[in-house]
Amino acid sequence: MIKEGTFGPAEAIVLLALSSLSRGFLSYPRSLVEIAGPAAWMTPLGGLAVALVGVYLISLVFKRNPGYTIIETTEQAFGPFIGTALNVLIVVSAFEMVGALFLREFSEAMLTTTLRFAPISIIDFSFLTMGLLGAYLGIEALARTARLIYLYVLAGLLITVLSLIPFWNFYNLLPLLGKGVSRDFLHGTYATAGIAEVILAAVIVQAMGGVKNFARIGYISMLISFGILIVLLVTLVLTYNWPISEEFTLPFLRLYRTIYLGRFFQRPEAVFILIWSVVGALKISLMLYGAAVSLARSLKLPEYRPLIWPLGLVMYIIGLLPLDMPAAVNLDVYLRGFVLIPDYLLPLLILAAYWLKGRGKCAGS
Amino acid sequence: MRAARLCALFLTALSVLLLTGCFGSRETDETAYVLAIGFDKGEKDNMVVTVSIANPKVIAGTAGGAGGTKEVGSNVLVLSVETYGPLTGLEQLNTVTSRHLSLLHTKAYIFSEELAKEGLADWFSTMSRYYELRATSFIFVCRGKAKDFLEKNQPPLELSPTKQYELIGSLSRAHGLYKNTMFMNFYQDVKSWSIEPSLPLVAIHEGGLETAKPGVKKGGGYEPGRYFAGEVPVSGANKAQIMGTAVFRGSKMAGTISGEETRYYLMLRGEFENGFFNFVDPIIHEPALIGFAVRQARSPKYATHINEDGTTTIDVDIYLEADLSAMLKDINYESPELKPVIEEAFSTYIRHGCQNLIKRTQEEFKTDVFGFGFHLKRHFWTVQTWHDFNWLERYPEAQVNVTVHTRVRRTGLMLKTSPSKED
Amino acid sequence: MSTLKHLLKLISYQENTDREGFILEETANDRQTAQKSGPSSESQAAPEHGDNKEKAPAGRRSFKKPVRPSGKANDKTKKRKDSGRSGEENPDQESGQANGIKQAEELSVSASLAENREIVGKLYGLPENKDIIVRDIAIGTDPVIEGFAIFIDGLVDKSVQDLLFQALMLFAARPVPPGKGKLASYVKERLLPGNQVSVRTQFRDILDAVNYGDTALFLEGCAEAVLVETKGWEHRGVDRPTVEQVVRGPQEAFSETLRANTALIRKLIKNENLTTEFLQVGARNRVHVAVMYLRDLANPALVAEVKRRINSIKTDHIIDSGVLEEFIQDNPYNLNPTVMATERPDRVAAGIFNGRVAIIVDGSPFVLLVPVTMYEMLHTGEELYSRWQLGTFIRYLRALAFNLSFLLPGLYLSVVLFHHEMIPTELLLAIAGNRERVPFPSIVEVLLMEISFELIREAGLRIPGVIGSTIGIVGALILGQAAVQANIVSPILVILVAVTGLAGFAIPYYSLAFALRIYRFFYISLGAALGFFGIAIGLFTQIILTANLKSFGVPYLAPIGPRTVTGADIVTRLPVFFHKKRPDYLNPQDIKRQPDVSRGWIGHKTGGKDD
Repeated sequence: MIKEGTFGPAEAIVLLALSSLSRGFLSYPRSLVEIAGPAAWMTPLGGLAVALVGVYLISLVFKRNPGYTIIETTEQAFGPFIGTALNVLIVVSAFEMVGALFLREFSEAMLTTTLRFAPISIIDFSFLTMGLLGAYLGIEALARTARLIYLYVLAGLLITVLSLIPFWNFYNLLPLLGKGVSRDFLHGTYATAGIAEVILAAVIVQAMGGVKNFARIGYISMLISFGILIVLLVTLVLTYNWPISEEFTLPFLRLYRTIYLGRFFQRPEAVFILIWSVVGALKISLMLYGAAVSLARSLKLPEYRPLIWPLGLVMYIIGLLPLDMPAAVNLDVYLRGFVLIPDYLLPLLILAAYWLKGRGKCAGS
Repeated sequence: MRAARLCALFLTALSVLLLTGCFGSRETDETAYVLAIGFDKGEKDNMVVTVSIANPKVIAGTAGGAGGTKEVGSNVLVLSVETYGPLTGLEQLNTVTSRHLSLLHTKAYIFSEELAKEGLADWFSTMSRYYELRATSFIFVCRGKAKDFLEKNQPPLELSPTKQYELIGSLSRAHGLYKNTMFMNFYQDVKSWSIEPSLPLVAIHEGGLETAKPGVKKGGGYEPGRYFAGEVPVSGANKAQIMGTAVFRGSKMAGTISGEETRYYLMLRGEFENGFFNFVDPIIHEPALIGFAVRQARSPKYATHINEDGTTTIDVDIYLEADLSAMLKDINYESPELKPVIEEAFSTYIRHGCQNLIKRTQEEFKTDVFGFGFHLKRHFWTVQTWHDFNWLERYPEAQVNVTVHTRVRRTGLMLKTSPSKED
Repeated sequence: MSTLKHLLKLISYQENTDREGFILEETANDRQTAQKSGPSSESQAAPEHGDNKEKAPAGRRSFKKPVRPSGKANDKTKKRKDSGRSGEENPDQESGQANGIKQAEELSVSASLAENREIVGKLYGLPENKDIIVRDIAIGTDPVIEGFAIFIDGLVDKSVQDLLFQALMLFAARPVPPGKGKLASYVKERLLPGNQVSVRTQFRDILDAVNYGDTALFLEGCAEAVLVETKGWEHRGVDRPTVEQVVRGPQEAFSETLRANTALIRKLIKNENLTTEFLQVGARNRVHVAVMYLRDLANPALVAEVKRRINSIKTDHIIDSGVLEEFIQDNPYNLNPTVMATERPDRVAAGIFNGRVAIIVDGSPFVLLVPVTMYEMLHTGEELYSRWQLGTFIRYLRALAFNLSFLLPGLYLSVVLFHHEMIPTELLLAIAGNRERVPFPSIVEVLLMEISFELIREAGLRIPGVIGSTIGIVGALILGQAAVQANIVSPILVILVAVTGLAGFAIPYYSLAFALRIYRFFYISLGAALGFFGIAIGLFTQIILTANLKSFGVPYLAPIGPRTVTGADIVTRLPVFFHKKRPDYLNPQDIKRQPDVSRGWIGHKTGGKDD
């Protein structure tokens, strides 16, 4: 079996929360404001509910089959062919796609803000190297790293929120329901529920201490990540009214650039770059690790480390495929829908398969 | 073999040193920092772009104290170019200066009045997309040419020109004769459906005291802010003046209001902080004046009603606190019987000023710079209904009632005024 | 059909019973080439797995590895697999020594005195070797027994020897010796006054003892030799600590003598459970290594691991504890040190009380403490012995110094080269104005200053003490001032490099400060190449590599890296009555240090214990 190392719930929660925070640093809040207008902060509420339900479903799956991750469970539920096919096509490819897209988006963001004259391949390569190193050293090292840096990330977020208080205009939150209830909640839920950490938690469940901790870890980390996203969106709309917020490529960066606490403390966006790069590297490592581990488990390989380099290379190449940055951002929209499949559809199918088998067994015996 | 591998790794890591400078790094002595940039309407092309570049040698002084004469140079270098747009202008200016121009530290953007009247929307979307722009830089509208302003603006007390612009921001809180606006505020207000933008006025004053308007004893007014920028009768080395506000409709300038009216504007927005007011003594009447140092006690209260036929009523309550600062005659206004008298007189005075300003914006400018739209948004649930209501078009028909509440809290270092002896 | 079955088997679910790991099966090709290269004698003894992996590439190579005289080609494989075994089949370890010594392993004391004398003469190279003194004596029994004593001049304490010889040779009443077999034990029990006496038969033990300062006594007709402990050589006394100084706290430091060091620790830990185990390391110079721990506190697995690692070291000689540290540390390629070396007994005692193990090497004033976390390396006794507020303040200052010491030049470079918008305009214009006159690019300037600072530092260590302080002033003032006036560097950079150097000095542990010095250069290159993104890359890599490190099974960044129980004493130091538990990442046998209410006088009016 693949030796993974273990870490406790405190680190697992921080790891999952930090990794899901990374999407708030990219152009994701902008699309949420585009969906819901001034009520952008309501959109993650629906996503939060769906994510909690998804965690519950996966914990039900694990209760029937403790001691294994979701990869083995899929195979046991569907049989060898369909199970492996589902695993590779859905789970592994979801990790690969998310990783590739995040790689591209982080590099694009870095190019837009600081290193404007660098070729994208260098920055992609740097992120990829960090991802390879992180995935190679294993999930335990990644969890410890997350535990070490989360305070600084939270401090950066807190500084952003607090320093912008002079610019807040509470009337920006009106009209309260934004662009309509259906757009807020339905469309918004569709956009926010696709979070790759749910399936990641299902894949690394053995390293997190097994099934007994899984539900608690899942709930708390989802609450934290969606909570921080809501705070971020509230700050964004409060500081800039929603027609302007729709325009920014990188809203969080724009917020950081607005900080003005007197003559000496202005534009500390370079500090933001530090936080952002480290969180991005963490996310890419996790996606690469998830892809490698799930591929290794579905193909019954004893070690996942040889798979890291090929999968990383594939991520790099796929990441370079979109032609320009708006294309990459648009792909993000489709990806959010795609990630819903392994997150929520797969556990439902597994539960349905178990239920059918149970009925079949009852009927048979 | 192992040593060779280690060496190879180490050298690879250190060879990153060779990549320095590849990816857009720029030394500080390769960059020319633009501290203020001005835009004028051009004769042949779209605009004249004027940049004011910092001269670090002078600002930093000589290093090491080697003695000898200090360099007596100007701490800025001003260049202009006539061109199509801001970024084109920067590129063309790059052919003249020996360094890359960088807008990373541009603290002031100055647009001339003519350009503002034509509309600033085109240039703002350019600036908003540009990476180097600071969202927290200040914008001004210049009466006259921005080129002249930048060339002649040499504050003698400041070593670094940007300090002037930064301090201007804090000064606006001290007297309220102009409203300091940042780029992000202006841009937001341009795109907002609830409020229209405004920008402070700056100008260069070439003359001395001859632009003084007649005072109260000679039949004129008495407000400290009754001038516009460029008219304030000050003589001396400091030529740049800031007073008054340019009012915009969309991104086109609709008109200007004087310094005093700016104060009413700030009060109605709830952003007035401090200021010194003169008003007519209610007992003795003109030409005796009483001076108050006024500040806002708390944010104004707004009550809005939308009637069935679509007309709107807005009631504004302004709360002011005053310190009695100056009195020409020796009436004991500190006493409890007479204090409400001057409070009432002052409230009436302010109320008239506010109502006049509101009437002016409704009839003359037809623009809601006060942000009453924010308070009307409460009545709407979705963005679509608010958009259909189209407040900015309905503003000229709105009914606005202003009530001012004043309290005189302190009377300075004198608690009682004894009458002086009759001559 | 069989191919279909084969395909089906490939993609069907099979329990993975192979828990061991990866085994590369030997193909026919490999077997052939292995046979062609011929079996080498040592590889017969090589163990089971991976064997074919090693042989096959040797066969496929176009040239053969040169065969060294003692077949050293197998050293690499041996070292990799030898960590567990004490290595019986290692003939090449002692191949360099003369044949005579080889036989010393097998020699034992003979009953004839003349033969013993001859053997001893051959072993020590007498009469050329003038350090060894052979003293013929006759024990004053009735009848007289002949014998000779052998010792090394300079290593023995003359007064004790005097007493020894007096006791043997001069008797008021002449005792009668017993029968032949029991002569040595008779001498040992009745006649010798020395405080450590032992009887030995093998020449190896006798040689070891005499090399260390004992006196060996050979008696006619006795096939055993008596070893008397007469150690006494010139050594430095207990001195003040040179490297780790504190304002408040004990001012004793270890010296080079093993016994003195163990005594210093015993002075602080007056506990019967304190165990000192002796191990010997080194082939030519069998140096004594003492392992000290509290028997009822330290984790037995930890002690076993320490002893296992030290016992398995096969090398020529070990001079200092630093060399031993390099042999037993977990990850020698990582820049961070994983073993702590200290010269203060109070620090060692505090460590032992927490459940750590101390390793003392004879001849080294630095004692090793394992296992250790990075936070331990940033503590000094200063915070323990002063009040907790002082301790907390100093620790936060030290945390700031830690970060500054490797990040500051890199951050300066990335701000000045890439992120001009981050600094206030006035500061930027001041920096720009100062840099106008400097002819070098920023990175060359920084490297120049850094390298000259390192040169000054190294030179300062080597200068003889008399002119040392003068050179310090020369280096600092003249170099810095003159460089600024000659417009080679800008004054801001001088301040920067000085602050970085000072921050580096604030780190208490020398090896860790050195690691940070090296990191600084990496950050300089990363910051100059990619700006803050480069710094972020460096930070991520450093954090993850450091978090992955382990020191004798304890994660390097515990208790923050992996989240164990919060300690009361990591960065913020809580008052002493809150330190109820020991750090639990060491897994000591007893985790409680003091009860909940450790100050009895708080609740009771008449003192805690009497009620």
